[in-house]
Amino acid sequence: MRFKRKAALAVVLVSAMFVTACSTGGQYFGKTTPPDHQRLVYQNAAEPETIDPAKSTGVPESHIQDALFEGLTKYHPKTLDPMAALATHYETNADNTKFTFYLRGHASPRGIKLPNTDTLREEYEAGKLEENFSRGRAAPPDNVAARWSDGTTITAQDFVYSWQRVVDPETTADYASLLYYVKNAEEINSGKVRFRDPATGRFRTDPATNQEITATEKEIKEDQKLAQLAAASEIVKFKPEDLAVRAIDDFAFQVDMRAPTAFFVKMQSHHIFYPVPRQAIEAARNAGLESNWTRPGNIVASGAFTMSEWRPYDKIVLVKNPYYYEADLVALDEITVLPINDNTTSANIYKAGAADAMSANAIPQPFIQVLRDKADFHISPAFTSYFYLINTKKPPFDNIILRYALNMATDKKAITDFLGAGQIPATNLVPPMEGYDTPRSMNIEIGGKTYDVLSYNPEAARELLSRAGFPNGVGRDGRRLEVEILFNTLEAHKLIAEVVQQQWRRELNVNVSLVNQEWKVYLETLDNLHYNGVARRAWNGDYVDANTFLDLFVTGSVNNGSGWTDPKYDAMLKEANSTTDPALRMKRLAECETYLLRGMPFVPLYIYTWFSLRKPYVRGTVPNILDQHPFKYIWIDTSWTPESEQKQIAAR
Amino acid sequence: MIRFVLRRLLIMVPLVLLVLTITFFMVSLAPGSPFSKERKLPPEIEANLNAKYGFDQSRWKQYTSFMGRILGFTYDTESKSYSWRPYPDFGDSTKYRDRRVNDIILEALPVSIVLGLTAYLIALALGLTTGVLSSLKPNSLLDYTTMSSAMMGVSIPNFVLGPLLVIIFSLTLYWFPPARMEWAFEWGYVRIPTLKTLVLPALTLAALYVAYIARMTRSGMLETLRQDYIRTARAKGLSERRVVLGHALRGGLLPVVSFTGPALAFLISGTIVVETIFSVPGLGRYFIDAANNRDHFLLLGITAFVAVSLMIFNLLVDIAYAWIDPRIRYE
Repeated sequence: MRFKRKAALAVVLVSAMFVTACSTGGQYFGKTTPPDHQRLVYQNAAEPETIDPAKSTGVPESHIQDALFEGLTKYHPKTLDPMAALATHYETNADNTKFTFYLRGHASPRGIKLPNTDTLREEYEAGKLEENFSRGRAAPPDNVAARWSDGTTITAQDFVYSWQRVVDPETTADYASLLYYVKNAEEINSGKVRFRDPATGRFRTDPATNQEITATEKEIKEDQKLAQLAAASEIVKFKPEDLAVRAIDDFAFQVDMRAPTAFFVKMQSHHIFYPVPRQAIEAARNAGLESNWTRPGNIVASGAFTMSEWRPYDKIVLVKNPYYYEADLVALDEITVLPINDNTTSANIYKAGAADAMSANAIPQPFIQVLRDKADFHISPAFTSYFYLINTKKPPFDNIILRYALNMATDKKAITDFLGAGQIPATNLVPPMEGYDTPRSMNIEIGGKTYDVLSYNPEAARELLSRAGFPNGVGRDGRRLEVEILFNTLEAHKLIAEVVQQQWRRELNVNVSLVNQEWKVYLETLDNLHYNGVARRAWNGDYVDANTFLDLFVTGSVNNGSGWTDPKYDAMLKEANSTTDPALRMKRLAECETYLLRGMPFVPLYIYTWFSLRKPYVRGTVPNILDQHPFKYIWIDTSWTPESEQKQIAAR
Repeated sequence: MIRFVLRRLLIMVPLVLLVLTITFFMVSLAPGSPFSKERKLPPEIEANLNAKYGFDQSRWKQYTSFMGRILGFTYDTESKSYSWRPYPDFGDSTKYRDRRVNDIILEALPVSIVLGLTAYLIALALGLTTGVLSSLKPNSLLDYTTMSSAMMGVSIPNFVLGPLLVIIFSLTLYWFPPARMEWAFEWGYVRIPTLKTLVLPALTLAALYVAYIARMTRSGMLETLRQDYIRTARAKGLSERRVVLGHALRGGLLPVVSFTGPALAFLISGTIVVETIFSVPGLGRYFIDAANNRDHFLLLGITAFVAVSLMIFNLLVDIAYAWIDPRIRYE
């Protein structure tokens, strides 16, 4: 007993030491001595599952991929708009169903010129950017071809190969569905077949829609009509070569879409669209194991860096790629990426000065209170939304008035105050973005009275609850309303659930129970709609467009989780996405969201923030909503001292 | 003796297969798919993945082909024939998509072994010394001090001790790095960390075992010192040194030996908490990862390894017994 008390005392003492160690020591968290050359030690939140751009899905992977590879476009370091990468220009037809990209090396590119390093300099000079990302360098001429790190030229054929590889079922690309906007991609990826009429030699079409008839082999077995059709036709399976992409010449790459897709160019900075080195993949396959192409020594890169070492769970070392088309702009000679998946460890390493920067949200939540005032602690808004899905298939939650009541009884500001890292209370799903008119209020007339169902109004919530058949939280059968909050086992989710539980109990007088499940079990419960009430959910935008959130709720989406669908919503979103005029499209997307919120298949809670630590001598990066910080712009201020920082601030 | 060892080795084969069979069905029946993620995959993509890893086949077929691979048989889909190699093939990891389980184990294991062995040696050295010393002067100040620190070692879990050591020695005194290993020597899969980066994780890992060993040695020694043959030894006029080290220690060590065998097996096969806190690239981190991700083949591979090493170390314990205690014979 005595010893246990001693141990407890020791823990308390040490914790006290830690808090004082953090709160003293001035302006920065830990050591701030810059390295003497251009090298960066970066903490990544996990060991990458793969760095094959076709197969990876996670954020930690993307940080490494973005250093190694480039696509047609890349993110603008601040706005995330598409900038010239391997393509310098693009053209599109009137209804956004055909895109032509002109790659570096094309003699006479046409169409819209993508912004490049020169644009970054102009933006800096015009005061639109706080960092001069060009650092005095001019953009390379568009007619010089880009090269792989083995010196070979990057051509349109590389794109054809890589995109066909993504949709090939053999590749098992998790994100292949992002390519489904391209004609035939979904059919190839899901192993569908077409029916060729032996008489005409053409593929059969549906007379009603004039579209080609396609089906999986399973569907043919199960559907009699299709079976008859199959018997009378020659069955032709979709092959990767059927993907509607082509190399017009070495430096012009063309894509046909299956439907108008106005945001297609915006998606191109996503890694699934990156070309991969055919030569390296085939060499690895011939050597016995294709997946070995991503190993150091085998890998051939197109980005600003290439890989010299990969020790799983230890480190990945990236070195400057001399063949990169803009190699003169790249300052860092070497980047060491550390996979640290424990948040406390991550903060410790940073504090001891063994790392210079880290990926976002990799420090324990309680540390924020201490770190808040440090000059090397950064917080910025994220393109990520946290919400509670409502199981709209389960009575009484199929009652929309009840769903309104739950939303109006939720004090979102109390949640963000509690979290304390600058999170934004949410009235809607899509995080704030430029040009998008975020729905903030929505007046709906119920029983002769108007309610703003997006507002926090407990009084009105109680009225609505009563209208939904639960006056004072009690149903007609005399039983109190039971609401379950489902979340995956994690302290942070539990704390939020407890806050909401208290609010609903207090305001609505209903029974609220917390149900936590292990991650994979939770995913299954969500997928099968096996929850009674609400379920925690967060969504991170894949590309900077409202569509990446709004298409969660279209019919057939596998990421819906609420059971809510509406053909009118599907049609509205489809129409918005085929709108060419960007401003009009944004307006229509906002209308879609308003319609979605009217159906209220979820309770919006808050918009995430990115928070991280970065040593003051790490320069060349600004916050953005996808937390993309391209290493190619980063440089180390090797002569940095606290005094030089003071001087600079004074000069500003 | 040789017959005994051979018999035990032979029994190990069906035992390992049994362990793997049970684990296989437990993993296979666990809810959740290795491919489920926050962002759910479209059904056709999940089907492609299931087909690639063979999860689309019947459970029985999955089991037989897995067991075949464990026994060294690989099926070549192109030539439709089996080939045999003298080592098991655990297949591909479902989470680390470009990596094979065999490679993961080969890469991570040496690191865990070095860390585990170091901790083991620290535990033995400290544990035995303090145990013997306190048994010689029971109820003295020395005894109370060592045994109460041992008690602390037992009661403070390593997830508390680790961060504690980090705060004191890394973040306040700046003597050791707070995490990660630097390598003093690298040769293929074999990596030896520098002393500076090894100290804190090894100490954290050793603490519990130091405590156990010290307490076991003390009680074992106290009991042995009361035995008749010790009195005889003393009566013969042997020096106290020879009585303790030559006679009593042998008997007093028996419980320690039976404890440290399996302990060593666990120490070298990776320790989840310490490897996570200190960010050590060992096997322990993959173990919990594999369970959380339903990474079937990785989980089975590590389980097989832990099972085999447990059995081998238990066998070694039994052999050591015969060597230490002349009363024990295996015939």
